[in-house]
Amino acid sequence: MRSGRARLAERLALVAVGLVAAPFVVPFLARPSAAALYAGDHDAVVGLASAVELDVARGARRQSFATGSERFDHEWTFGASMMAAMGLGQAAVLVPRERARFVRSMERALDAMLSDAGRAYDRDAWGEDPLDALAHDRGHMAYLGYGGLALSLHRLLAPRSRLASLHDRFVAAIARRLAMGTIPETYPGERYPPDLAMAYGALCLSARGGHTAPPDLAAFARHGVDPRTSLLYQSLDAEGRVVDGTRGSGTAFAAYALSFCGGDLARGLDAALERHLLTGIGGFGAVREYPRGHAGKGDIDSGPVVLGTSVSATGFSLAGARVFRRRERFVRVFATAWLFGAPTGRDMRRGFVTGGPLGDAILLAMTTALTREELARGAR
Amino acid sequence: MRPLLPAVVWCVLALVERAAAHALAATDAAGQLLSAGPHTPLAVLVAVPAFLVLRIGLFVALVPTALFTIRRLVTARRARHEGDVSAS
Repeated sequence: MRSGRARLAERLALVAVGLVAAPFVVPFLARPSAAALYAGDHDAVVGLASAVELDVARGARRQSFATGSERFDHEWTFGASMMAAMGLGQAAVLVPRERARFVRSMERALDAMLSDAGRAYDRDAWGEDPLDALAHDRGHMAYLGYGGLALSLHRLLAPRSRLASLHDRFVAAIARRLAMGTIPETYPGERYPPDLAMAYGALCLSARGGHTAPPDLAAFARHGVDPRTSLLYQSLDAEGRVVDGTRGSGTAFAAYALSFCGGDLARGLDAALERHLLTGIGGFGAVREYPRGHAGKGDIDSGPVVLGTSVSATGFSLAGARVFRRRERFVRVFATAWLFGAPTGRDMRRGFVTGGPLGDAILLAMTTALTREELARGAR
Repeated sequence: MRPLLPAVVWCVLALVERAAAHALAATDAAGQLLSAGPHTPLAVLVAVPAFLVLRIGLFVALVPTALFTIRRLVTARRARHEGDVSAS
């Protein structure tokens, strides 16, 4: 007969072994979904895209956001529509059978992005409607960059749609601002390289369709990329001095936007992120918001920062992992999104419980980010 | 049945987690966690983290529960075998 102490010791040992094993075992439950999205599998992409379609059809309501800042609430409404448009456009490329359906849904998301509510955050900041700013050369870089990227992807898929002339005006406005030789502003007095990356991505995508000339990425790299780490600065002043240093969320998002340009810049950002910011435990991967040795509380761009890793940087990094074929990284980071996002589905729709319309749209856009070959296929 | 008790409890909690997931997904509330700010309703600040604690707790407990269940099944089988031997 064993003593009670021996039994207790045995139980504690079982718990200890179980706890140590859990981070290695649990990610295996997420692997099938991760592998399917990585491969661009029909059912996996359609499932996620269908959930986002539903959000778009319902309208990404402003009540969904409660950041405490009117400007950021409006900004997230814009962001949810824009990311939905990107995700649905990419889904249209990955699932050719559903291309017409997803392009139609993408147009609904673009309409929301271009609506009065979608423009409100930028108008509040500038005291001027961003569509009026298409005619001149100052600021509005986030609205033009993000909006231009989504419109450029749509133009690639539907070159002669009703949005074609608006797309021409967006990319012309971006090109004029970038040609001025100064760093364009997102908001008055505020300059963010991640927003600039969107603008460059918009021009690159537009150039693929033959609507503009490819932009000069060297100027962006000179201002925005830290030469020591190859990570992206988060914000700069008018003279190009660093206001907010290198960050995971901005680097990962810029790698996604610039992946539409091909070339080495996006690959370099993604590799730097993997080298300096990738972390994790067992089969779970996550991305730090700040490089090791630097601390910060995060902000609206990073989302909550937990143990140094940020929700945004981790989610955005899925795009680079897919585009640059980093399969193990994609699977590990997706396992984290799977654990905390809590996927749920019904009727072939798969959304994430804790993400809401914005989270679903971001995860769709990031997990369907297109490789060079897929992008070339989509342009045909 | 008794040796399977840890596994049964885990399965019941897993069903509760799925039910909670569907309930939260049916509302816009869950999505507010991502953009939580001063105006986020208290119910969201409580319900969504509580759901996440349940979900993560479930997965952390997955391997220990499996090990416990196997251990209990082995012990019960051994006890039955020893009972059979002594009865014969």
